[in-house]
Amino acid sequence: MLRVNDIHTYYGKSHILQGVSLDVQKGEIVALLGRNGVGKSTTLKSIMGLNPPKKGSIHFQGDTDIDITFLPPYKTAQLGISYVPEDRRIFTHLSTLENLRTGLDLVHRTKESKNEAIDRVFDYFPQLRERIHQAGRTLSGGEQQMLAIARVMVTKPKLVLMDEPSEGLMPFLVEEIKKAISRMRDEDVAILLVEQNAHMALEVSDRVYIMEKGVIRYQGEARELAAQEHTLRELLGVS
Amino acid sequence: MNTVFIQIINGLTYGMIYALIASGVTLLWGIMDFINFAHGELYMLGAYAAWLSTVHLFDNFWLALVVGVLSVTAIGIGIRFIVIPVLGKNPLYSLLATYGLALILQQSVLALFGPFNKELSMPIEKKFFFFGFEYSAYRIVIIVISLAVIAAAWLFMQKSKYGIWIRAVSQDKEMASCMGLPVPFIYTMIFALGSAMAAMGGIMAAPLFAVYPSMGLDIVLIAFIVVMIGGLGNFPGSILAAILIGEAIALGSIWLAPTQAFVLALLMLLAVLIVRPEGLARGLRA
Repeated sequence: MLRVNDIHTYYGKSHILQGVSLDVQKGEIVALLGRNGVGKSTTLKSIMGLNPPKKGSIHFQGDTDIDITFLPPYKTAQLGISYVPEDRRIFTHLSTLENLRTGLDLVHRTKESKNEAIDRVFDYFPQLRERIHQAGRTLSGGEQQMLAIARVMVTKPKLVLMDEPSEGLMPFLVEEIKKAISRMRDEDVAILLVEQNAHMALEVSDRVYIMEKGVIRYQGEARELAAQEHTLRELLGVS
Repeated sequence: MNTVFIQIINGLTYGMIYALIASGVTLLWGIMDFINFAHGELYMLGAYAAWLSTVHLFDNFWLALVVGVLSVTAIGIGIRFIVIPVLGKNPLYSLLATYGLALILQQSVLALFGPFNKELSMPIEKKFFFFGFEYSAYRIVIIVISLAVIAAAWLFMQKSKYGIWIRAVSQDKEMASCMGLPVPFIYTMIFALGSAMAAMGGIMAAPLFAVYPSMGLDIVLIAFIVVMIGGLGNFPGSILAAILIGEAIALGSIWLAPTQAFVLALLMLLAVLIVRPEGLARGLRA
């Protein structure tokens, strides 16, 4: 469904991604792991079109195979690729409902399907229903993360790029996010998940890539990697 | 006392016209980082469109209002596409580019219609009597129409799908784009909205003040002062600031010459910049 082929991405003059290739199949949850600063977030930004690569290509098969390498973010998004960024970036001046409506009004045409989509995400995250008319800036960190996920869920995405959804959240909230990710899998949404929390990522994902210094160093089944303690320690520094 | 009362209403009339122009400036500047120095020319073109159509085409001011707003909106959208090379760049580029554009538009109007003031007759002749003073009903109509237009624009920004998109883009352009919002189309919409409101201001002001080629330049300076006092990109703030400036100029000209009254506006700007550089109405920001 998503095929990233040998991309090289720069920030100014620094060569961040030095030939990254990966793929995500339909309905699959793929984790992209690695230490800080190895280029995980940059990979997501390159796919989204926020920081397009200088070399290489990115293809997406929604209905047809499309080269999205140089599409602006909004065109990539309209094909069914959604982005949940690291710092959440909800619209803090907008209310919860207005945040949901940004993408909702673009995808859904009838009032019934809009209400149904909103009801469904409130089903995932009941706390948000209580905050429906509150401005985004008044939500807690956990609620903001839920809103960032809910905001893309209402757009019926085919693939979600998720950047460290568990960062800075208390353990019970991490559980909530994990549950939401599993439910998205049930709805056949593919997820490319960037995480620092390797344990959490290994629990929810099917396959794993590990990055080091701008290249992919390991790829395999999540179940296999969970058993390979020395690889985990060497590449991620976890035990 | 009567003079003060009359000038308060006059100030409200001025304030409403300033608000119509400043709304566009603050939307473009606050949302797109785009300083449109040619925004006053849309006001000027609106006034000329009204004069042209009432004198040469049909003798109906209200029809001219509609025709003028539509044609100037089309010109505003045209400007949006002309300035694409400087969109999203350093705001100084847009300032220079649109200043050039303003000169071109002014000189074209000067070449076509000459330097002399054009007069429009009052669309409403009726007068009110306030405390024994005669007062033109048309000025009241300006206040009412402007308030209605501004309220409609405000509702559009708050409730409609496009309004939510505009506010999302104004806060975080990149993230709005990642949500699939068609950013170039939203820019066009902002230009169209700003142009329509500026044209409306110019057309309604035309019967009150004279119509002349550099009228846009005069008003755009006031619009920039209003926007800075109201807070950049702050729509309700600029409405409030527009009324304040309108009142300052109107009340000031009871005792001062009109040019000296304009200095009052500059002094207010100075005071705001020193005391609250982020603008008067920070808390109002939506």
